[in-house]
Amino acid sequence: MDDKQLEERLNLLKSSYDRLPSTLDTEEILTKIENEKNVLPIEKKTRGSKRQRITVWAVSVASVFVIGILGTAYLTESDETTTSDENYSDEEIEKWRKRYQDERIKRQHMLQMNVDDFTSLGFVQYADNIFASQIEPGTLEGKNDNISVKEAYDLAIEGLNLPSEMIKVAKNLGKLDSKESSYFVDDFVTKTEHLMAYYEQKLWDNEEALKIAKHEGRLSEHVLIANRYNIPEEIKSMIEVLPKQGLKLAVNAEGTKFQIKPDLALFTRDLFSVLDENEARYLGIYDLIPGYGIATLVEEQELSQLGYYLASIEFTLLNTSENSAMHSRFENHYFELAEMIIFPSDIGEILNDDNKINIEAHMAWETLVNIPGVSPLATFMKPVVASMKSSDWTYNETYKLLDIEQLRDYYLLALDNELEINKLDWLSILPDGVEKSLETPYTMYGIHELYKKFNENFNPLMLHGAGPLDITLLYHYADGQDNHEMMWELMTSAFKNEYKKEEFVENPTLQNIIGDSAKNLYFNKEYLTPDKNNLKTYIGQEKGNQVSYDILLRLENDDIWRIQGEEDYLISKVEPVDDKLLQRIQDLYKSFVRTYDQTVLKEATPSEIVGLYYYSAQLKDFETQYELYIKEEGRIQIPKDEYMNAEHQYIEDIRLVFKEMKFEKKLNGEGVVTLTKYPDEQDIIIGFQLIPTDNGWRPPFMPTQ
Amino acid sequence: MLELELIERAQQGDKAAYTELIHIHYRTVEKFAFQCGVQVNDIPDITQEVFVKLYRFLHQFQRDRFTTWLYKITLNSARDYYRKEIKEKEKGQKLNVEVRESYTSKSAEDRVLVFEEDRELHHAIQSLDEKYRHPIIMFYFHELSYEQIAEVLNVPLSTVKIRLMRAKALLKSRLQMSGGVKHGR
Repeated sequence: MDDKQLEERLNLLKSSYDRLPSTLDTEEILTKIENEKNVLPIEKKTRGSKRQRITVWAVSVASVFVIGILGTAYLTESDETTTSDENYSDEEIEKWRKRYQDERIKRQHMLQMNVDDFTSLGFVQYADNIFASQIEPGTLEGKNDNISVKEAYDLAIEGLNLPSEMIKVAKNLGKLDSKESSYFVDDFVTKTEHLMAYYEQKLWDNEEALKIAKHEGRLSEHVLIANRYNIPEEIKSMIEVLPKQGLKLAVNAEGTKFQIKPDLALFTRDLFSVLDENEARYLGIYDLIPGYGIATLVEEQELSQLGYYLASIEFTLLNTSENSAMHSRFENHYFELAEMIIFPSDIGEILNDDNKINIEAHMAWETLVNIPGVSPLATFMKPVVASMKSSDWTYNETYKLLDIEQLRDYYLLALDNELEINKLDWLSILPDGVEKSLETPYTMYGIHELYKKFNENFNPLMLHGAGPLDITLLYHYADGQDNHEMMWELMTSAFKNEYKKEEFVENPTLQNIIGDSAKNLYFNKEYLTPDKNNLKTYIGQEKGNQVSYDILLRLENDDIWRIQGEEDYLISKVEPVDDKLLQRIQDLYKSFVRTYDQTVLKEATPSEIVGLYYYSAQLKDFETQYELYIKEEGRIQIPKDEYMNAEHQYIEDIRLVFKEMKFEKKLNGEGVVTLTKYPDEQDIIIGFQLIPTDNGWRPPFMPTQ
Repeated sequence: MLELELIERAQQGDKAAYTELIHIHYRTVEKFAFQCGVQVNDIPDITQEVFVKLYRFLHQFQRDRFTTWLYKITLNSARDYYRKEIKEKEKGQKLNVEVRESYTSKSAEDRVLVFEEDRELHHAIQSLDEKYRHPIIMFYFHELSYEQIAEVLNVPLSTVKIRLMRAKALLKSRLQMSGGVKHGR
């Protein structure tokens, strides 16, 4: 079927819809309107495009109001039991009415509005409705009997509270749980939007008068504020009130219109300690995407930045209540923004002339792929980004097959906790090298937060995205706090299999991983190496004059870096068997061969010990070789005569036989040096066992068996 | 009387003018609601709701935006209805109750969509996600421009274009999957 055929069928269907029966009852509609007592303003006002925006809010805001009485009950200290309203006489109700009027006037003055304007505000109408339906004389028969008059009064007053007051009330109440927080945020945003809508209208009504506020041909809020004594009174009041209610005056990108924008960052700062941390995130992202939808954001921001915003929205959605108005609103923004970023209407927007994805787009996409934790976006984008990266970001088939519906499926799975964790591309995320000073407080800046979060219930997801340096610092911090349980949780599963939790928690075998002399911690990508199916790395610290990479971390299957439990000196870096190594071996040989003083080899590295072993063979000095063997009790010992008379392996030149060596320490504390021979030799790779002693590493008898 | 004049009078509280407006537009609302997934029997309720709501918002919009608002409000009402329907169905499924469209609503639909071809296409449209469903309906059945659709849905113009393109592709593939009914007309 082609487009034309489809359109033909759509046309036929269109005419079939004419058969739809009609049962219009105009009378009933008019009666219903009459019953709603919808009194229209008689005065016709000037209208313009702004109105449209206002009404968009009005509609979206209407959905928020559905929360209604139940929604706002979080702020009611309703310790009173339900009472019958028969207890209230007309006089008492008149008292409620008087009190309510006083409260109303108080807010009206705070907003510097006249009574009609104040009454037109959505949340004031809502409060009035509660009051009228629940308390006003003559309407008691229609009221909800589950709510006492006192409770209804409190609800009406809460309805009247301005955004600034809501913050104060919430602060006094203390910590709100996630459900209460989500009601709060919905309510707060609703009121903010009612005020925005009102002030946008005022801007529109005064458009002509405001044209004086221009600077170099563009409208300027600064000029307007400076001239506030020469402009209409209601605009002057607006300028004074806006910042008090978390709003600000701005000018559109073209410099042709004034706008009202939320300015919540500072205004709501006190809420962040009161509200549930995740629900509070909506306030932050609301500042970016207020009532208008994502269009403004898309116009104003670089594509690469949009990727970051999208990631923030996703995180917020996945960690907040699904029932709030903000959740459903941002769900829409999420999919729209995702579509914008991933499927721009004109593919040319993201392509360079050479058919490659431009840098802005691939930065945005890489941000999506590297979202830590469970991420529908990352899961969705991974195959495309991987395939494009391998072809230098050439536009390809994998992209063409991408369907946004799949993102929707992943999102639903994630909401149901059924989406698997997104494994990060650590090889690209980790920088080539990082040096973190242990002497400035900044290094521990994010670590306290991480500690707090992880300490709540040791949820591993909290650690996802934290790099090996962060985990090392976290372990160090937990150690400082004597939080042995957290230290245990940060160990690798291999370590946990080897040891008992109770014993470790009682007496951690791995403390002070960062030495007192260390001034910096180092990460070096050279030490980031494959490890089974995953990765491992070493974090370095200063010991004496050298940087010792001695803290081993492994990336585990859940994509989280954990401490391996290595405390001792350890180098996994591949070391070539070259002149340099030989020189060091010869120096050691000279010192050792005179007296066979074991302490001479105390500081020798595993490679040097192995090198010395084979160098002795090269020199046919099997006595020295014999002296290298471990002498500790409990280890197999062979009489020297016997050893000297046995057959020996001869080596011409260790540099010609062995190509490189690599050391690895095993969980039992012993070590293995892997020697790689040159290809023409047999047994290309051999393992050489080493045992730690008080005098450094030593081979047991038959170390290569 | 011109429609714009009617709107202005209705905005000033003239009920007769508003009645006139209802008469001009009610078919659009009914059809649009049905196309958006409202069942035949529920259309009167939705239509009533739309015109009551429209009156509530009447003083807030520009006269030349009347049509946009009509669609916007109908869409929201249909959307709420659709979601409620889906929830009801899910509830039914959870309770292991087989939920079927009632006999009356089914046969009412059959009276509108007499031909199998139409029913197939109508259901294919219903099966689309709403973001694809709505642009298709407004573009092909109501002849709204891209700009108008963008305004109704409150999305950028480019989004409308891409959604329409995708919607058509999805429809074609769904119709092809079901084999494409040849008979009936």
